[in-house]
Amino acid sequence: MTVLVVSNIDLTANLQIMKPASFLGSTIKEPTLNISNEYRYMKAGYYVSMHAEILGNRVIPSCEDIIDSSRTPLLLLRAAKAGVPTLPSLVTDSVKKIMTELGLPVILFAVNPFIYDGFKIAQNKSALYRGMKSLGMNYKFAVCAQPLKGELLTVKSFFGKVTRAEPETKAIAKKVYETFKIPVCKLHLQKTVDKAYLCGLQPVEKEELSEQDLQIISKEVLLISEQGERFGV
Amino acid sequence: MNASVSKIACFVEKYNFTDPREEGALSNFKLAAEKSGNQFNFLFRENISDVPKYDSVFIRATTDPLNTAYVVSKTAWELGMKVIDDPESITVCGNKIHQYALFEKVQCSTHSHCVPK
Repeated sequence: MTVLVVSNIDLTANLQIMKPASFLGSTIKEPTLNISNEYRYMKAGYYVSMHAEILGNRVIPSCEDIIDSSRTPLLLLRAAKAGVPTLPSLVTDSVKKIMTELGLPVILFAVNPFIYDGFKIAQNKSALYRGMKSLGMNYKFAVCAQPLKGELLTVKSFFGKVTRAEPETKAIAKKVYETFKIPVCKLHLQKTVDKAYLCGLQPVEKEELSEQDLQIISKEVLLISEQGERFGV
Repeated sequence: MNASVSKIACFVEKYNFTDPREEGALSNFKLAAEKSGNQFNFLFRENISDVPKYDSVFIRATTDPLNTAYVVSKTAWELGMKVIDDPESITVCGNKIHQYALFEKVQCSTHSHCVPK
């Protein structure tokens, strides 16, 4: 099976790769592997998957998975359904509700159209107000709050694989990839003494991709291209 | 309580109540639902996490994949609830390029267009 690889990242493998702009002007009907450091809604990475879907191509990742994985409450809901360890979360614009239902400390993620990156940690009430004001854009939007139970860890995940990580982190990355099929992303996790929990998923800046990262991505792309794997309906 | 009573959440934002006509429409929805024997509660941003307490969700806030309304819609959908607007409709209808491409695909008559580079 031929797999069309569309990438905005310069891969090292000896592969036929199409740039997003060329693909968007084409009508190629082939299973499509969309490699991008940035799949956000209405960015080129999103439109590649959308164009592939409109052409009737099977595509990794799908538009649905792109949107859901970038909205932290949906990421956590679907991940939990798939068996990924997560902590209880709350979507609200109310400081009082967070204090009552979760207590402190908490980790906050934005749930608005403008902020797609980063998070805030609130160890006390004034930090919670500041975090809500900042990520809620002056209390105009809700945030997604999760209890902070352990050490925060951010890992780069390439096709669900992470380097230099403990088994529970690797298991989460693998399961998150199986669920959302986001080839290139960053995962935020919390680690307690005996367990790891998924907290968030965000894009990777191009500058954050090392030579080694590019080699890992390229190797996976090559494998998929050769074997036509992971395009199951 | 009647077992067939459905608990409907109507997701709204504060701006839905700034226009008297919209406020009137929301009151009519509530009256119609209750007249049919259902419970009808307005659900605001503060209480989004209460979605699982309902049987179905009716969205009146602005629907767009980047807005809170999508999170509400998809949450309800994932929980197996009836929801209007459903997340797929929001994804397609919230994006003019997506709509246009689908109209072309099903040969629905459209005006000529130009997509800026």
